[in-house]
Amino acid sequence: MYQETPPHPMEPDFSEHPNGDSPLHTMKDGTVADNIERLGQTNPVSDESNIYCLTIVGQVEGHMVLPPQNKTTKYEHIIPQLVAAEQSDRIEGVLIILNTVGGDVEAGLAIAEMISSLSKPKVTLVLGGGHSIGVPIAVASDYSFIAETATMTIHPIRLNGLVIGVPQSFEYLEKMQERVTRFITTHSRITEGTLRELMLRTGELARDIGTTVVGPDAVQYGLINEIGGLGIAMGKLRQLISEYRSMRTGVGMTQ
Amino acid sequence: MILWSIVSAEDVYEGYGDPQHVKPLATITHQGVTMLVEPLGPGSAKIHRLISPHAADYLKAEWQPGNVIATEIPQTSIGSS
Repeated sequence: MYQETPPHPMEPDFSEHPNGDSPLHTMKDGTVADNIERLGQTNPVSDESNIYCLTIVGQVEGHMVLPPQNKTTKYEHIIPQLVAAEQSDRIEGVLIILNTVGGDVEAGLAIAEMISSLSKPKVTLVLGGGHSIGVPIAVASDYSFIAETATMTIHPIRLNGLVIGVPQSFEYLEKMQERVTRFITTHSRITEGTLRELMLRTGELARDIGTTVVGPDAVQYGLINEIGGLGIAMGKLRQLISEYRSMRTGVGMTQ
Repeated sequence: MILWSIVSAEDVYEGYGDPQHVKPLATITHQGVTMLVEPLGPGSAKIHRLISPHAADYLKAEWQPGNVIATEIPQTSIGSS
């Protein structure tokens, strides 16, 4: 059983490494030597974290640039950063912090799919709100947390712009809803029936149908794994990283 | 595009397409990497977007969108993108 605890990402590790064969340690030592050579100092870059933190806040912005009163998270920033996190040797886990009001469905689903297909351990934490298209992003990780006070609004998808009053419009809308619903139900413990029931509930929201699910309810419905904050989420991610490492070491030994 | 949000579409799209909000961006090559930048004045620009096939470029702290970099911007490269 692999027992080594992962190095604390925020504290520079100045101890001697008896097991200098670890790729992380070798890389770190090499960097310090390079820095002395090039810059005359040991460690100009203080952040050597093995955890990559991604924040998804405000509107999730997709193909159209939104007016400046919107705070946005842009997919053209997030997508290559996730690629870089996947490819980087240093990064061992990804922490995704959400406080979003929703946004573009295509962009949101693209981000959710990228998070779920990332091979490294990933944990999501919903703080404040993870509404609408924030829901599939929140459930895309290996393990999800929601703050006790955070909320998630489950409501039906809508169509903007010109809508032609023909049956095809309804079928199209249902198809768009279906792909979000399917993603949520396959990546969390919630059943399709419960999700639909929450989505179509009347009398809860003033200007819409649907439900505002507060922290503990999100866990009860099976949408989110656990109630928690930053410390717990970080601890879980470290645990997943350590399990992932030992799994990889185990695979290496059997080969 | 389908906007799915708790904020009403009227609030989100208010002022959409207003020319005074559209910032002219320049496409430049800075240290070998193509970037979309907003010219701030002579010799400085704010990064809006990186265009690079090297994934590691997107993790560089100094190249995060919103950062100001020191660079000369050729007049010919400015245009709304």
